[in-house]
Amino acid sequence: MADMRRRTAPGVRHDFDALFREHAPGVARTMYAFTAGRRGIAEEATAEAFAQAIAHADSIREPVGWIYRTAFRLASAELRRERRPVPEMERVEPVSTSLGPLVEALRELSPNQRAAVVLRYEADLPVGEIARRMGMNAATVRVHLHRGRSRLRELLGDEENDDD
Amino acid sequence: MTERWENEVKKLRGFEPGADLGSRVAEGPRGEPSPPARQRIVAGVTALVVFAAAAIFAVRVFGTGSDGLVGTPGPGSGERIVIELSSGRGDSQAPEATMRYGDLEQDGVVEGYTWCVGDECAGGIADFAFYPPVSEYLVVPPGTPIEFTGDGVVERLRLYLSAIDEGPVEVEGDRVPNANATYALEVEATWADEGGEHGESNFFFGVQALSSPSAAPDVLHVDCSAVVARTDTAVVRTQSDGLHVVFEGTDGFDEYGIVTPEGTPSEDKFGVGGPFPFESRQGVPVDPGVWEIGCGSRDRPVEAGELTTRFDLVDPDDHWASFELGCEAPEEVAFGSSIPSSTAHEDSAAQLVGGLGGEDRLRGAGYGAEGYKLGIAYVIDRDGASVARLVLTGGTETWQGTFVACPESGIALTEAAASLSPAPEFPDALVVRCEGFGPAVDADTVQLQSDGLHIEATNVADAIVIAVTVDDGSVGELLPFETAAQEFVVDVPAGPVWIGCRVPNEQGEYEGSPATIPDAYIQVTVVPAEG
Repeated sequence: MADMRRRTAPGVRHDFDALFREHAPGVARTMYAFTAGRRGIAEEATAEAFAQAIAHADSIREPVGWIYRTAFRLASAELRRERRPVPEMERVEPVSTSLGPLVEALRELSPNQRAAVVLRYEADLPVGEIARRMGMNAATVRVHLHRGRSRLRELLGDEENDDD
Repeated sequence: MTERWENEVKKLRGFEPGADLGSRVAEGPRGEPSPPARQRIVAGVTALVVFAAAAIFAVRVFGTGSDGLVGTPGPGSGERIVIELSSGRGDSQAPEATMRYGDLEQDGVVEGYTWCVGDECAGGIADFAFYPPVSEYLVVPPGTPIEFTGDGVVERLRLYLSAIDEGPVEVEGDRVPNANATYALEVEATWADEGGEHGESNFFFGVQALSSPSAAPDVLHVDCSAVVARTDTAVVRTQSDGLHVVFEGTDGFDEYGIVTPEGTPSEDKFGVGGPFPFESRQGVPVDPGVWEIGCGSRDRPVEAGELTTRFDLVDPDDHWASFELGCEAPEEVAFGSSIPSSTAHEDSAAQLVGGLGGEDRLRGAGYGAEGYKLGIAYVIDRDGASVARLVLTGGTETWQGTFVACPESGIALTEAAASLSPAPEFPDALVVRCEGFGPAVDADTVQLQSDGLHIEATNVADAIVIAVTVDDGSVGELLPFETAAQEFVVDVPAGPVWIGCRVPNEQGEYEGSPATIPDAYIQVTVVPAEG
């Protein structure tokens, strides 16, 4: 990718190349879940959030949380633009076979539930950090987690599995 | 060992973004999804607070009347919250719910629903469900009963405390708890089979229990880090110097804005703003009424309706007095006086105004006599409405200014103003000197002539033009210096006028206005021509 480090403002010195390498896949995965499989929206929100972070480098103290919150805001705006509560199959991009059942199940959750579950169980983040990245308080995150877990358990099953 | 659903979630680790993500980042920001074009109303944020007196009062139409967030019924009115559950049978529509209290109404936020017609069932998950934002909460008295109407059956009603720093704590009962707080209500409802149709849904609502406006918080907390600026109360009360705000989560934001609500006619739009960090100990002198607040950046300034949150500023402790009179008043008259300007302005005002009734109060306009740029403003408050106004201006050895009173109010200037001193003679030309630190003038009030405002300007610095404007958001009419000393005549109406000494940027443009570069301008008052 192009060199992004030179855009970092003097005095702050966030290494956006390193941040991108370390966090972009996680942000994109979270947005992919948040949008229930809309890869285009997820990747554009991720890229735009990083681009905006670089542009505002001199005023951002905690870039990772900032990037997540900005990506959530951008993806939310795109979802809101669609103004459709239930994603229809013909409007979303096809998903890989391995992710198909998960994406189908995620579509039965609210976006906040999707994001909370993925950040907790895919990214292994503590609730406080999830709250920081989602821009909400920890108690609300716990509610989203509780509801999201319950719904996924209903949809995907709760039998124990130690294959993985 | 993990449950199956957890293993499915972990499969997301195999998801990789496209290889072109990095090059897209390197292209730079494309900007947020663009909103509909709106007139920007926070034109600049250099000054902490910029007031345009004429515009301030336009916002009063959004006071705490029917357009406010506070419902008409008051505490003890016996009013109930009524939640109507509607199935939309026959149209196979998603169920809906509406909460009403007095003349206020709130649509329920659906988190999920199922609706079946025969064996065919449809379901929905709302994209942004959970609590409605606190700014949309209905304000009701504590203990208000909740009742249900419509064709649905309530399976469960849960209430959660939903203040910004508190978790959702379940509260049992079919009425709003008897304590001042913000609450989220969750209603789970079902519709029994009728004609082959049945379904279920859950809805969220929000209420803020307030026993009286005096029970509202006196500080508004705003968290900028959420998708939309998040507040902790729908109603906030004034302090002695205005609205107090505490901002959190400002990382990545450059400025705040407090603006008239979305939908305000363009001629009435008004906003105040300032850069972060924000001094939370200082009140923002906005009038009581409904406002929107938000956090912005250099490339995304705060605009009403764009990630802003609405709140209602109430004044139960009577900290604020209207500059605008509650009547159709005649034009203001100018006066002089024999009272030395070394006399305190509050003492001078008391000597200058007479005819006050026993209940009348002479008090500073807004949040204090010195809160307005147009001079030191006092009003006579009669039963909560202003019936006369006195504006004092300095610049001479004795106090002078303007006065206006409602007809039949009985308020008038005393002899200290009217008979002891003739109306002042204001200069018929303004002498302006463009100095290194900006403009200087020889008087703060000048009289219009029949052909306009006369300016005698001297340029002792590097100014290229004199800028004259009656709009503090505009750079103004540009009058080029051709010699170091020059006379100008410019057509302006009576009232406040800003005079600037300006130099262009590298592109030859004149950036900024009195609102954004106040040091480059000086304000004077222009009074009408004689005769």
